[in-house]
Amino acid sequence: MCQVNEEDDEIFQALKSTINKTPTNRKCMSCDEDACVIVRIADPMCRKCFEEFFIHKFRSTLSKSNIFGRGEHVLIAYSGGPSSTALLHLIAEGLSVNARRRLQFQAHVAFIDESSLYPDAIDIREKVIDRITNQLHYPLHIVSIDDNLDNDNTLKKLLFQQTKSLTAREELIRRRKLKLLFDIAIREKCTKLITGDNCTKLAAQILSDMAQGKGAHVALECNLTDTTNDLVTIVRPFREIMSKEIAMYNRLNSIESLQNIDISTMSGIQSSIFKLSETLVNDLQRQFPSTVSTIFRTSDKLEKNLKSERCDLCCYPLDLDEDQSLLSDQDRIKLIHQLFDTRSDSNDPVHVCYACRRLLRDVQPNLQSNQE
Amino acid sequence: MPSTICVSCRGERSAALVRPKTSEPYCKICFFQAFEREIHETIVKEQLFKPGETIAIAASGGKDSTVLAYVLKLLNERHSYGLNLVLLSIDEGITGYRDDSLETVKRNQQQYDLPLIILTYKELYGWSMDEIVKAVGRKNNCTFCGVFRRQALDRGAMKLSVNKIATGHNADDIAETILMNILRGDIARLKRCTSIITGDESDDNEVSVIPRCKPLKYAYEKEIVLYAFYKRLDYFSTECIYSPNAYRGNIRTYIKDLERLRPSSIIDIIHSGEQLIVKPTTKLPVQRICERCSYCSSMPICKACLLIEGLNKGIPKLGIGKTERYRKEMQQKQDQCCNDQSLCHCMKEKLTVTEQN
Ligand SMILES: [Zn+2]
Ligand SMILES: [Zn+2]
Ligand SMILES: [Zn+2]
Ligand SMILES: [Zn+2]
Ligand SMILES: [Zn+2]
Repeated sequence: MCQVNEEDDEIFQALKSTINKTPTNRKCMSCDEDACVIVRIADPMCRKCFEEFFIHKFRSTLSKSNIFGRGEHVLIAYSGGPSSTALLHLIAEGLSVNARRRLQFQAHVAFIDESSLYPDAIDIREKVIDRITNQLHYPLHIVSIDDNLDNDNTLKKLLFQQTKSLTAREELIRRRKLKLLFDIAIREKCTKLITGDNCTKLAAQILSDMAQGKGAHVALECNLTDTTNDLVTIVRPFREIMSKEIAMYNRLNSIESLQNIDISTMSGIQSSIFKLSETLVNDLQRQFPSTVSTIFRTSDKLEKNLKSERCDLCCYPLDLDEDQSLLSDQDRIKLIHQLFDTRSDSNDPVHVCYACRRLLRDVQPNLQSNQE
Repeated sequence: MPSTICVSCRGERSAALVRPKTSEPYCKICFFQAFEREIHETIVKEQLFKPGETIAIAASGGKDSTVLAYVLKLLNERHSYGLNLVLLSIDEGITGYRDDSLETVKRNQQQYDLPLIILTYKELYGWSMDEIVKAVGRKNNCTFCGVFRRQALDRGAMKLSVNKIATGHNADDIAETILMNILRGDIARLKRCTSIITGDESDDNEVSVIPRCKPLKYAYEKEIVLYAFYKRLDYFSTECIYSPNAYRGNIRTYIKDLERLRPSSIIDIIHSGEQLIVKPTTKLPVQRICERCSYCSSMPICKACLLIEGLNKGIPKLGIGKTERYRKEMQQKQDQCCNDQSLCHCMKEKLTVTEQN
């Protein structure tokens, strides 16, 4: 076991030598101006070149494979956070009449409102409406996280009384949000769904998924275009951009994200599997600045699982044999129909993937109010 | 104190321990049965063995290989697998270093009544590690111990013409290796480390000639320790005196934290790893066979033969530090030296130095 440390040490040193450099007195690597930004490990840049680099990266990702058809209806998932705010800003610029290579799609924006789940959440709907409808003039679709459920209390009760771990709570919300976004997209005849996932977040997501037995979906979940849903393709134009770069871009352009409350802001760093994974990635990234990009490159070398049978909970392809994925517990079946099936009263059999099966172990299925 | 009831025999006996895998109270007898049954199920389900095969159990004297030897012997008799089991140990020929662990293996041989074969580097390569160090100095011996160690079990197994090698890798080892390989982007090893049988994950471009299998793949380290403890098995505990450094240390802590949140995490990570499919476009090295020793190699002459030639001709630099790429590969490979709880010579040096201080 000891040898390991020595080998790791060498890698450690090699990685470490690339950091300790500061932008002080350094020149921009592209032109010769004084540097003010350090993007990748040791590349100082001036403001102008950074912005050019950033926008170029975003635009080249999008134009890479001619993802969007002319006039195609596209739904942008907006959360109010830094990533999706920057995304919206860049898309608005790309769509504007005087853009250089103008984007040609029809933008819609979706906002999933989680405020009903938390007692002292600030309602940011007004701000969202102001930003999207009044300033950008895009069609805006706001849906509450407990939309379409019989009783307003159902989801809240399920999450906070019947779900025993924060991991399960977070994962249920994540799955429900995705489901709602797909529903809006289909209803509005949007064939693409753009999300603000950046590679820092995706790297944490990869580890978190691995830890929860969701390895089968890692390759799809990080791909630029994700065909999990047959009708709506997820597009991730920020997948190669770091959260730090986004923060920098926002700061330089005085772009303000909206203070939003969600399940993850309410919890400590050791409280859920995603939080733990995020902490690990951030810690390692600080010590070894190539961590995020390495994790990401690993996922790029993986084959996408494109099995057509999908999990009824997370929408991703099933990774279990049919008899193992079939749910038999009537209460859990009912629960999944209620929360995740838009055709609510169907009696179809429910199949779930390995990770969702684990997740359901943390959920008390009884929706009836039989608790004291 | 009122005793908790064992969940398995439901009150026939009171519980003596909490099973790490399920967090349920078990009595000793039921725990032994469950632990053994699960390994048996793995062996049957994954078809690890065929009747009549000779299996070399890689024995280091450590807890994993000791439990493996004990359980395989037991299951072979209980379920009539029809296997010929042999303990196989490698002696690198480092004065003083192997003594304790080899003594343990020798006692195991008697306790379990299994044939034991100890092969020395001298027999396998014509050179012991002590002699190599004398010839090449301390700086370069790492190259040798890395290459030689990876091939030693295989060469030993070839020499004895066994059908398979069984190693003591447990679920914790495998989960850690999966995450480690994702974090360093080592796709070739990622692909191999989850497979329960065939080529060995220790090799990047030298696939083992003899198939290897890991019957303890789904066994938790904690349960292996408990099993060894309650069965009073005789093993040699090699506690590493170095705390793992940043990278591996972080991953170990992460897995421990995961287990705290969800006890099934280790098995979940292994399931994830099993589901990963490497893109066919990702280049994996082509395999051929060494012209001299017929060992697998990506070059006409394998690394070990090249190193031996250098030693014999008195030019030990031959085959060392060839290219940057090779150096990098070695770096990753040497990692493996220690997975079977052995030290390489350079580290032994370090140990002595630390003790003196
Ligand atoms: Zn510049
Ligand atoms: Zn699922
Ligand atoms: Zn019992
Ligand atoms: Zn060494
Ligand atoms: Zn050879």
